[in-house]
Order: sequence, then structure tokens, then C-alpha cells
Amino acid sequence: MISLLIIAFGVTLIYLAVAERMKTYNTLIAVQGLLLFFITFIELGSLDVWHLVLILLETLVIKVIVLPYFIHRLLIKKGGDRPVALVVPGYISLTVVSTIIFFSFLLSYLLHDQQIQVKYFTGAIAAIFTGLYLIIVHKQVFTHMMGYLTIENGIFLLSLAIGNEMPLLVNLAVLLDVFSSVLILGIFIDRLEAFSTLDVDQLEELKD
Amino acid sequence: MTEIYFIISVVLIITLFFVRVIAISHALVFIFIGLLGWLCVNEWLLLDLPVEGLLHADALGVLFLFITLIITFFSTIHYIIYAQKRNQGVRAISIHNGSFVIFVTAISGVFLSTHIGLLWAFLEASTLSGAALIYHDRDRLALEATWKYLFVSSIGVTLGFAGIMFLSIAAHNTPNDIDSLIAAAPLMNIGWIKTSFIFVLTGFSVKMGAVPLFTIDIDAKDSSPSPIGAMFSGPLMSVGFMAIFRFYQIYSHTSILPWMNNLLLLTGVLSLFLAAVFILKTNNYKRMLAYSSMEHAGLILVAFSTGVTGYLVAILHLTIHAFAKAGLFFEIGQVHRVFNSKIMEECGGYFKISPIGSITVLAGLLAIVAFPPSGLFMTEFMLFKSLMISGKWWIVFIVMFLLCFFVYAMVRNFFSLVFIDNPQAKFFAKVNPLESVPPLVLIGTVLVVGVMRPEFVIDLINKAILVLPH
Repeated sequence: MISLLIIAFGVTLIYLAVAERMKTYNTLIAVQGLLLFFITFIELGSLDVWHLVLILLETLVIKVIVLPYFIHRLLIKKGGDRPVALVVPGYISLTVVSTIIFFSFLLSYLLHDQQIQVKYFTGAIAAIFTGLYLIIVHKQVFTHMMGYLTIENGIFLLSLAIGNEMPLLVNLAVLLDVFSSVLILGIFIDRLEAFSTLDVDQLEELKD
Repeated sequence: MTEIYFIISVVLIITLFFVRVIAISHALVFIFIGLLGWLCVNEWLLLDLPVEGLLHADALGVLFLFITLIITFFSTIHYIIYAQKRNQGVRAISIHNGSFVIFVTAISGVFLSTHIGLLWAFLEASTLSGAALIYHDRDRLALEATWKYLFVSSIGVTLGFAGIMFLSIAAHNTPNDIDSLIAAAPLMNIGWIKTSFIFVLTGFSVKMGAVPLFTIDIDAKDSSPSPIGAMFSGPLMSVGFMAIFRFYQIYSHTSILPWMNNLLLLTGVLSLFLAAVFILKTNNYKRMLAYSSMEHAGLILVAFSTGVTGYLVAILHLTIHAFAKAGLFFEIGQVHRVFNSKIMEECGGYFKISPIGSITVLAGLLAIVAFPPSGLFMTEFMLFKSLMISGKWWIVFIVMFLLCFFVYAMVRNFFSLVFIDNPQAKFFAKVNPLESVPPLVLIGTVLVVGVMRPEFVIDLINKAILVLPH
């Protein structure tokens, strides 16, 4: 079951590489959140109730409901579901992300470390590098934020791969930070839109 | 005790966002500074006693808390002047003061954390609150700087988190508190901890203002009000250093110590090189100071990379630099107000307008280019000695060569500001000579410690570096 969910997570990464509309990106990030919720729920069945509530909050409430709703309301509903400018043709991005996933598999199997769970580790590394790829090739701040959220999901999966639990207080602080960082990023995208500078090429007044 | 500090801070933060009377808002910030002072003294007194829990400072934490306390105090005074002279509205002041207290609380949290995960959480909180401070002026440039800072910093701090994850893999099921990790360090997998250190150094370089993620730090110092530039050059640089130091502290008990030192040396020299290139090019006083901070971040990393002989030098340099740079940022804030510009072609003849301010600029220049009796002269001298002891003569020549560019750029630009009349410079506002007193006090301290050894600071640093192999 978990393998299927990880494969579905990988499929969302491939879809992200070729997505053209803001709404598609937002939906894909929400789907990733839902998959992470199921993976965590199956994997961490024996957790105490507070940790479970916290993880539920992080995945189901924040990643699946609050953030996509917030992004939709702030960016998509206001300006319409605009297409995202693809700087690199879709088929090249598809090849690159597929290669990233392939090498993530290769790396995970070559490591032979008993501490890590190979399935999660593969998904995590693939998500982190796909997120970085999205940030590098896209020129719009919206897609940069989607890349950042993909990296965040990758990091979440990486923490599952390791399975080293942190104290509740630390988990809570991390959750609060991740949540507020995305909210604040969203607010600033909204401000940038007011200045009509959603393209990073226009953000180059600060230089020597 | 630290719990009380955080609880009262949270109450003050919430109140600050709702207060709509300027005087009360500023008074609440001073109450917070009093609270921070109490925390500093308390942590200092507890230094030699065994304290349990996730939040308590070691000697390095206490030193950095004191630096934060002093610069926060002067920064608050200068912000009051800044807000008054620019007729800031009560809402803008409330948002600034609230974000400022979150920022300082997050910074002090980093210095107090004994758990790597908690340290990360405070680091991220400092990014978020720092963004609100950079956006203070709400113009297009501030927005651009804020967006870049927020985004790149978030990526950097996330990469740092990946570094923590790799450390967790290497540490197996060891709890992520620093003492347990140090105990488990000799058994850690070398590949994982090397990967972890690369991620941590890359990610947290954003806070230290060093290579590779230095660019946004320059933009942030340029676009934010000068009192915030001072906070970014002093306490925030200490935050970046502390984050890297914690991982260094853990991994120094493994065989990768020489490898880490080489990596720090490379990062330091690259920071120096890039800062030297850009400082010659810039025509903006605040960006010049920001590149100078990058230069000093590079020197600190180079000093630290020399191992046992360089640890004291690096931390002492960081401490003295924080005071010198804060003083200069405050004074450049006045220059900005006088000429309504920070562009070099639009400023000049400052001596005729503000003799006390000009003396402060010149004293700051002596301090920052490490001219005797500056305390930085003492640390740079010790740095070269340390490099020579470790046999790295070629690094001595490279660093000396690069330092010439900084001295040239800063002397040229500051002399032109103070002594050369510029017909394009327009005189916009008069400054009260008393406003130059706080920067003069900070810069004066830097000049005095070059002659009188700051024993209290050196004792704290010696205690702090006892945790490293010696």
C-alpha cells in the first residue's frame, strides 16, 4: 500500500514538471499533502495521541486544506486561473524530472544504510531536487513558491525516512514555522502582484 | 527561567501589535530590552551550574546574548529617531516594534537552544520576522528585497533542515540534543555527516552573509532602515555563526575535522574575494557597509578554519565587528537623512554639516579597516599569526591582498563623504549632534578594546571553545 502511495507521489512530481496552469499546481500540491497524510497514518500507527494530532494537523489540515485554499483565494481567484510561462519546453522538464526520480532510486539503493527507509528516501530526494529544478527553470514567483512547497513535502518525507522522533515542542515549533512561512510568502506574492511584478526578471532594481 | 522570558516576550509581542499609542509602543520595547538584560545576567550566573532542559545558554550563547542586548538597545534608540524624523504612522511603528521583538526573541532562542531542531525553528522565526522589518518602508525596493530575502532565506533554512535530517541518519536513534549528539559523534557515518555539513554551511550562510547565499543579505541591509541593518550585521551574523558552530562542535569529534576546516577556509576566502570585487563597484554607502560585513564574515571563517589557534580569534573578531558595524550603520542612517540619499554621487562635504557625525564616520573607518588602535587590528594580527602557525603562508598573502581592496574602497568613499564638497549633494535635514553619541560610544568601545584587552569577553570565549577539541 505504501509503495503505491509513494509511486503516486512520484507521479505528482512528473505532473508538476509539465503543468501549465496555476490551478493545476495548487491541486497537485494539495494531492501531495493528502498522500503524505495517508503515508504517515499507515506508517505511524503506534504513535501517541498528541504526535498523531500534530501530524494530522500538518498534513491533512494545513497541507491539504488551509494552504491550497489560501493560495486559491489570494492568487488564483483574484487574478483568474492564468497559464504559467514555461521557459523550458514541457518534454525537457519531463525528461529532467524522470531522470531525477531515476537517480533518486539509484542513490537510495546504493546507500545500503539500515537507518533509512529506502522508499521514503527515494521520494524525499526526488521531491527536493524536483522543487529546486522548478525554482531554477521558472521565472514567476508563483511557480517558485510551488517549488518551495515541493521541497517542504520532500523534507517531510525525509523525516519519515529517518524515523527519528523529535520532542513535541520542537515538532510544534517546526510546524508553526512552516505554516507561517508559506502564509507570509503568499502575502508577499499578493503585494508583488499589486506592483505587477510577478515575473522575477522585473525584480532586478537592487544591484550594484 | 528562560520559560518566563519567552512567556513575557509573547505577551509583549501580542500587546505591541495592538497598541496604538507611539510612546507606549516604544516603552514596551524598552521593557522587553530590560527583560533581555535580566535573561543575559541570569544565564551568565547559571553558566557554571548544571541546567537541564531544551533552553539554556552556554558561554558562547551568553556572549552573543550580551551582544544582542547592547545592539538592540542602541538600535531601538535609533529607530525612535528614524520613525520620528520620517513621520511614521502609529500602525507602521506598531508592526515594526512587534516584529522587532519577535526577531530579537527568535535570535535569543537560537543562542539558548540545546536541541538542533529547536535551533532550526528559532532560525526560521528570525527569517520571517526579519522580512517584516525589511519591508518597513513599503516601497518597491523594500518589497523586492523582502521577497528575495524571504524566499532565498526560506530555501537556505530548508536546506539547513535537510542537513539536520542527514545528521539524524548518521546519529541513528540518538536524541537531537547537542550533548547526546557529541557523545554519539565518533560512531557517526562519515559520508552522512559530510553531506550534512555541506547542507548546513550552504543553508545557514544566508544568516551569516557569507558565500554562497550572500546576495540577499546585502539587499536586506541596503533596503531596511539603518537600525535594522545594524541588527543584521551584528546579532544576525552571530546567529548564522552559532548555527554553523553547533554542527562544527558535534562533527569536530570525528575524523572530518580537517575536511571541515578546509571547507570553511574555502568559503571564507571566496567570501572575501567576492566582497572585494563588489565593494569596488558599489556606489551606495549602505551596500558598501554590507559588503564590508561579508568581508568580515569571510575573515571569521578563515580564522575559524585554522583550528585551535583560530577559534578565539574568530569569535573575538565577530564580537568586535558587531559593535563597529552597528555604529557605522547608525551614522550612515544620519547621512541618509541629511542628503536624502545613500548614493555616493549625491553626498559630500559632511564635515561642514555635522562635525561630530564626521568624526564618528572617520573613527568608524579606522575601526572597520582594522587600523590601530582598533580591536579588529588586534584580531586580524592574531589571525595572520594563527595562519602562519598553521603553515598557511599562501592564505596570508591572499587575504592581505584582498584586504587592500577593502581599505582602498572604504577610505576613498568615506573621505569623499566627509571632506569633498559635491555640487550634486543636496542638504535636506539637520541632525542633532547628540544623535551621533550612540554610534560614537560603540565605535569608541572598538577602539578602546584594541588597547585594553576585554578580559570578560576573552574569558567567555575561552570557556566557549573548551567544547572543541584542543
